[in-house]
Amino acid sequence: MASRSTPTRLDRTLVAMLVLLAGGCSRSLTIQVDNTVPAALIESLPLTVAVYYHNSLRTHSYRENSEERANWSIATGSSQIAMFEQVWASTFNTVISLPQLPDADSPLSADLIVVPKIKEMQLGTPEETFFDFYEAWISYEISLLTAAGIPIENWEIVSYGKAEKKRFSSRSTGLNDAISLALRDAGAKLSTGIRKQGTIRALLHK
Amino acid sequence: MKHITYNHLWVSLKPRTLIIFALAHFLGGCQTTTTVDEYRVTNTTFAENDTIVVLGRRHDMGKDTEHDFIQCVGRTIDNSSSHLRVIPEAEFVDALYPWFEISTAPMEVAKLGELVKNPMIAEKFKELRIRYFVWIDGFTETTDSAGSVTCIVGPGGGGCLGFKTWDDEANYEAAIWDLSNIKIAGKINTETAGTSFVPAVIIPIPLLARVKATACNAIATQLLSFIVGDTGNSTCNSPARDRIRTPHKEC
Repeated sequence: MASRSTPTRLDRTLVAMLVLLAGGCSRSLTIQVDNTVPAALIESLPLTVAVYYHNSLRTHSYRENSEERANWSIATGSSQIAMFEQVWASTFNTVISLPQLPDADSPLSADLIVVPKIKEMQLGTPEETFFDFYEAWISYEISLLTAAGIPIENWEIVSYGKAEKKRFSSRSTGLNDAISLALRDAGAKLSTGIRKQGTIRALLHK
Repeated sequence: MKHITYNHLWVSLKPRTLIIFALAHFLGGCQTTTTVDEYRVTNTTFAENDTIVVLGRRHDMGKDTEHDFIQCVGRTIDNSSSHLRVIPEAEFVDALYPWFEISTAPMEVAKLGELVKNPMIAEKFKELRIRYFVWIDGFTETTDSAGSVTCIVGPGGGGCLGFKTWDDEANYEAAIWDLSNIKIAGKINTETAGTSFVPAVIIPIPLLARVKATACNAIATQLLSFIVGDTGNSTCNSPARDRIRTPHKEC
């Protein structure tokens, strides 16, 4: 009887397999998106631009705790900042990073202040959409301000990333790839689209 | 005319020969069939050190052209005996960022003409010595499946029993854009189909039809023939429409 209560090697193996299976079926998700976009092959605009990043963008994280998405936490802040810095560096002649927005009484010696913000982020998984890919949408609002911090124009862009579901690949990898592609798409839309904005065109024709 | 009654033949055969016949039947079932269509609009010329870039179309909301398929086509052309060099897709798209992203890539050859007017892009094309753009659109999918294989593991051992089969189809179209003339040089279309089997008696034996790999080889071979020519000549003068049906047997 004593030998029955002692776990055998097979019992231990079965328990380990069950623990692994349970882990694989877990709905919680924690991802740190680490992505960079390449330098843009575009002619830089002869402007001096100051950029201010809100703390909500620097520490941006997609969080959801629903029945389908229990304890989801996807940190994208550092990748967002890296993408914006790469895009601005390619787009403008001079870029200044602002620790805070200026007062109207003490304007900066810059042509423009740019303040990017994430409005919304949505994700789609093959389990939910029944497609063979992971998807990510990020909606941004790019505020253009005068050197004194007075709002002039708001520009909205929506970026999209789609990553194919690979065999033996995890959900984390699929979502990470889709978000990375959405960041790349955002960089492409920003670098090709900002020069078409009325405020920028007016500054260039000054 | 000589007739063979197979019932008599089966009876007279030894067990070993029967197994060989059965295996041959399964292997025969694994064959893939490829049809290649080529449509040539202009002659192609190609100088030493010129390069081409093979890119996948991924703008549709549905299934995208697979990255591994594009890599396979590029690698097959690169490893051929021709002097044609292929710039890897990822390297090219990074070097030309943001102009060849899904949302910004030219969808028609006229848009490529507009891109070339940008001196920075023109200079990069010149630096990379690009002669032709090959845009591949399509994908491989499983169209039908039947049967199942069940595996059981117990303290005394394990094993599988059953039979599964599925059909795969690969449809790809390659559009060849001539950068020097900003025109479509031609199009190549491949359709590949194959059936895979997994019979399982204790051990599953996968007999897979390599549909995607066959499509990759077919399109790469036809691209080489289109750009460099069958004999490796640098100029090809055949503006005719060719249709080549190539059945393959692979397992």
